[in-house]
Amino acid sequence: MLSEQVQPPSPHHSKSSSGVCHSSPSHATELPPAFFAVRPSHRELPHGLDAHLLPRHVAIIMDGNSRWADTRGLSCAAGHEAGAKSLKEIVRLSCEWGLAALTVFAFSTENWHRGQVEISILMQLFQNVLTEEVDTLVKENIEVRVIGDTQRFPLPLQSLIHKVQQKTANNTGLKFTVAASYSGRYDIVQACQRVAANVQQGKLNPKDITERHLEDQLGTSWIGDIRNPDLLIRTSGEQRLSNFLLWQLAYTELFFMDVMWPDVDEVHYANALLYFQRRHRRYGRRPGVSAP
Amino acid sequence: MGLTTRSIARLSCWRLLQVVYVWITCCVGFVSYLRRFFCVPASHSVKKLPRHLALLVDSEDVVLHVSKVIMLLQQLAQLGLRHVSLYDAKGVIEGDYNASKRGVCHKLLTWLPSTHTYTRLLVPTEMMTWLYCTDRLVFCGGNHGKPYSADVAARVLRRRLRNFCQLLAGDESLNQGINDTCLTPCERKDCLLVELLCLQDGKLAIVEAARNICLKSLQSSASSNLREDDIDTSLKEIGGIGPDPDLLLLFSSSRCLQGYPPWRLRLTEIQ
Repeated sequence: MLSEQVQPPSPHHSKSSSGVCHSSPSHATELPPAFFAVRPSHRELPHGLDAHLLPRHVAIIMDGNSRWADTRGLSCAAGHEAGAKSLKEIVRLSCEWGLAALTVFAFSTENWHRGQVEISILMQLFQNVLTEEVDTLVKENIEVRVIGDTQRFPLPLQSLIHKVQQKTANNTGLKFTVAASYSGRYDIVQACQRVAANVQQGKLNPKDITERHLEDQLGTSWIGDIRNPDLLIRTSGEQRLSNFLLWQLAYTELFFMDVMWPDVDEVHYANALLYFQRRHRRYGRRPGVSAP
Repeated sequence: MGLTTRSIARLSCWRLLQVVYVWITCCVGFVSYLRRFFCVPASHSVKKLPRHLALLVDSEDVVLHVSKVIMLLQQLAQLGLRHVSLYDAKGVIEGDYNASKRGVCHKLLTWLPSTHTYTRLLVPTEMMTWLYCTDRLVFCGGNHGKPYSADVAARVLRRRLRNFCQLLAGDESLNQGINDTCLTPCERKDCLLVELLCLQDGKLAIVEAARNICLKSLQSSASSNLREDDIDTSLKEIGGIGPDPDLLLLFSSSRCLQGYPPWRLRLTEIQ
């Protein structure tokens, strides 16, 4: 589905959004070979999407399940189940359209303050979805990681997460990260903790600590060169990060949409990717000004 | 005949008064119409002000449109805001002041009206953080690149803030809020604190906080589980002051955060 080798675009390759820049201080200045290896060939993508101008790594805050259920007079369980269906569709589309990485915010540390009933429903839903989808994930060549404070999950769910990660570890397609019991600040704290441990063990001098040392210890470090998302999508109309990937979103294009997560479909997703295509990706520079 | 003349005169006066009345009403109406579009609404008409408003501007725009930045800050002060942070990735506003008095920051500050006898408090170069004030605005920023000790810098900053508040009004009560455990903006009611931020206040500040934590743990030979409060405290010691922004306004054609201090954006509304 993905894997035809594509040549990098020539420097004078021009599309509607000229001046689009995919480099940033946080990224390698040249696109890694893997970027091209997983891109579709010159086949057309739907909705006017351009394979060469898609974001490599998309992050999504899947918000609005409960409000979606409230407006329909349904239970919150129904809202979360509908949200799970949307997620499956978005993962399928991400694979089909050739994205390299997808990171979704499934459950935050703040969500632990919700009612016990809803938490139980969510834990059961995670378990059901992982159990049902593990074979599909293996078949679709998707590598899965769950990041966050998973020690707080019930033990059966922790075991299942470990099993899914092991089974998909050798997959080479979409790198799919599920942030669960996660907070951006927690991610930074645990990265500092690991760096401090290295210092205690004499492996690192405190004066030599750099941004890279911390980045290599964040939850998203496993994604490699494209660990920082190019595009963040948040649904339900809220316009904040809610403690998601605080470090990683420094240069990410932000896209907020009013639709509730269970209502997100192919068209909504394509619109978000088209928005990214049309934006000038400058990281603070003027269009046409090359990186230093 | 005399009666007719007087009647005609009275009628003319009455007509004249009517015309003047209509003219005044039209003028007032026209001015009100204009105010709606060009004036900031009075603070009592804005029901809820953010405790801390953050503004992100492109560095190039700051250089080209200093007067607009100043106008915006003045309008925000009129609205009653107490704490505004102004971020540009390259630190044009902040850095230029240290490099040259003809820099953007100097231009920005000389445009501001000053009705008090003092307009400058200090610009220390050996200290971690500097303060600059007019009668209405307090600017503070980092002096990046200089070696410093976090403890010393924090003590100096607290002393400077106390001195500054005393200078403002000779009022000891303004020391409220400035204590030994945290650095908080001046509590003066008509004072707007403008925090100048740049890229180095973002991830690099977290790196610096991590270094300090590691140094302390090596000195104490104790290892303990880090918590958010530890990072928070360490960041405050190296210059981060005030609460996290409630609202971040992006004045940029690119809809991204350009490295705005990530630790402070946990629950910030972004527009």
